[in-house]
Amino acid sequence: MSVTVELAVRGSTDPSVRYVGWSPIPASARLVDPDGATGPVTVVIAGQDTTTGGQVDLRATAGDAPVPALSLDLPTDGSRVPFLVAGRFGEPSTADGDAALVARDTAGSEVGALPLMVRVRKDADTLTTTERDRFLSAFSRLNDAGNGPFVQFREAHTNASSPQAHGDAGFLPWHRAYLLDLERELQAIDPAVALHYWRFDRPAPDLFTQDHIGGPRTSNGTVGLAPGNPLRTWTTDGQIGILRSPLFDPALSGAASSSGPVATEGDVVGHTGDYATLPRPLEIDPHGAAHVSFSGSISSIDTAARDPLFFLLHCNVDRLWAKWQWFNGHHDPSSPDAYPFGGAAGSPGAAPRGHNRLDTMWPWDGDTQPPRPPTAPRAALAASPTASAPGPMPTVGAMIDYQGRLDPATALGFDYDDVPF
Amino acid sequence: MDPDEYRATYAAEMERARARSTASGDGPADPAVPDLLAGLGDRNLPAIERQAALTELRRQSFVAIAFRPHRPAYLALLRELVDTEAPPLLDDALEALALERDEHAQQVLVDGLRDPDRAKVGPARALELLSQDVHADHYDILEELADRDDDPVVRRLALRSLAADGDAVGLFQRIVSDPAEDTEARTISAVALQSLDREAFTSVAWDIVGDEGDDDEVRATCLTALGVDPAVTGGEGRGEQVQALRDTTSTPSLAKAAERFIETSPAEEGDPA
Repeated sequence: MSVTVELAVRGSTDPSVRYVGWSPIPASARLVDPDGATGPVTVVIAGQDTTTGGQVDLRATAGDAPVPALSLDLPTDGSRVPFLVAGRFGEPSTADGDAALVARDTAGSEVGALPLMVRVRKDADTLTTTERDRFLSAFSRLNDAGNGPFVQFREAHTNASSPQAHGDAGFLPWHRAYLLDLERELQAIDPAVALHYWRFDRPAPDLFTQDHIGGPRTSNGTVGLAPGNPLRTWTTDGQIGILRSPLFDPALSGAASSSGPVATEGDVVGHTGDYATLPRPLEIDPHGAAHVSFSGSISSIDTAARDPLFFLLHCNVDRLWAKWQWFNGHHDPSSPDAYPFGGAAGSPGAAPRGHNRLDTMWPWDGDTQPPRPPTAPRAALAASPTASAPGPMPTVGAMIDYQGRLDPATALGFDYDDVPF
Repeated sequence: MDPDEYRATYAAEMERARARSTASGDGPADPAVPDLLAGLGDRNLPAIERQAALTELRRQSFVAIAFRPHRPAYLALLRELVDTEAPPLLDDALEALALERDEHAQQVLVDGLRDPDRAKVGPARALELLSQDVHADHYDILEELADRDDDPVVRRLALRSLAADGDAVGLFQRIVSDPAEDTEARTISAVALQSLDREAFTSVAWDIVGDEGDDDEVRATCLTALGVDPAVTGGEGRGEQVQALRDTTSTPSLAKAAERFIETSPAEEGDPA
């Protein structure tokens, strides 16, 4: 007997949904060819055994511990048997489709397979050459020599829009939404790409090179980029190239300026207070400190978004928040420990608009009435085939439980390589 | 990696970090902005201390709402420093203002480019700072500098800033098409042309890519630029042309550009193989 099994994730076999992180997602198996079987057929579902690439684990139900393999009895009528699949923490993919679910019959023969990718945001200094090049290529295509939709992200981060994104509790949720929006646009170009981070409290010798985010400054003032580097065509505000000079040696140290080195991960994650006391010090150091550890566009709010490094910098800020959430157990949007301003703007004790849990956020809410900026460059936060949340008009609160720990429906579809579920 | 084991290891690291932090003390609180402004404006302080004050101010400026009441005084002080100070504080202040797209800083830079006797910084540095906010009324001086052949660095910087000028298409077409031109000027012109006139660029770029006698760095830049344009495909035999290039070139950057093009720019459906 040789049955055929169809494996699916998120209710589909479409390639666009085959990207997983650390959060368990719905999967299923069903018989498409019972090959004469008269009763349920037992198959073993497991991650593909490989010494490289991504690995996955399974759960029969949400409350179960992850296991490397599950035995399922598949009915002959072809109805789906559900289970859950997630990337195995610490073992992300390095290439698209290098992880897989495999179904085997009781004789051990493969009867079905579904390639997956365990796609997570990584330390940009640790990327493989292929990962790096795909990331840079997607970024450059989004920029399209200044003609692409990247211009909307650039225009969403200026002095005029700054109060929406800086200086209050909404600093972290706003930037989480901003980065998510950009990442989804990158994934619309290449679904194997994630928005990686610059670990700014450590040396990054492979990141600050001509083949990556830019090497030593040229005589033109711009960062050195190899002729084959996709960022070679980077253009913003009608200006070619990236103006950036580190005030430290990135091959030897983390970010630093005349004010000293940036605050470390331990300084942020070890913060024992609730959320209310987190954003302000973090926004100055390490966030602001990392920005001004350079001369050039990235050192000012108004011009920082011209530099692609800006997004990797903020991805690390977001990672620090995510790690603080994980370490201190602050994922419940309704808890003041996770976010202080419940309710909406205008209610008693509320923060400025855009910084309360129930508030929508500019630009995605399209609000251009004062004190909001007069334009809203991003009409809607990008959709994703791997997550239905947060929707086109996200609230501050929708950014809190990004892994869907309390409610799987709130998962935003991204993870960090060093922040478990 | 077991998440529980990871947590235990990480918790131990956090404890060590807290112990180090406790041993070294909490450290000084962030200095108040008014004190920093006073320090920055104090001519009796060494320049290095004043520069440190400026760095700290710029760091705190990222907390925009809290910094907002201080911005007028901050910008006014920077303008005063630009008018009265010498390097290195002058340069730091000028850059800080240029990044704020400050009109006073722009005027200082343009005045210096038009009249070297009034220049606060060299022309290359002035062009670099001016590029943070190029205006149409800067184009005349930029075109003049782009015509200079006595300083290739200044010329390249001027060309870079002219990428914002829609009337400079002809200039960029001429430069990128001329193998006798400075390589860097050609690569800047290639990217500028793509930004301003995609169709003109695509035509020129394919000619350059196909010319084995041309500079491989320029060819690689053109092919890279073609590869990031979503409208460019490997159709009409282009894919085969690029594959052949990848397989025959001995220049790594050109081979890499070709490889990326093949991966990201497939032939259109229906095109002959």
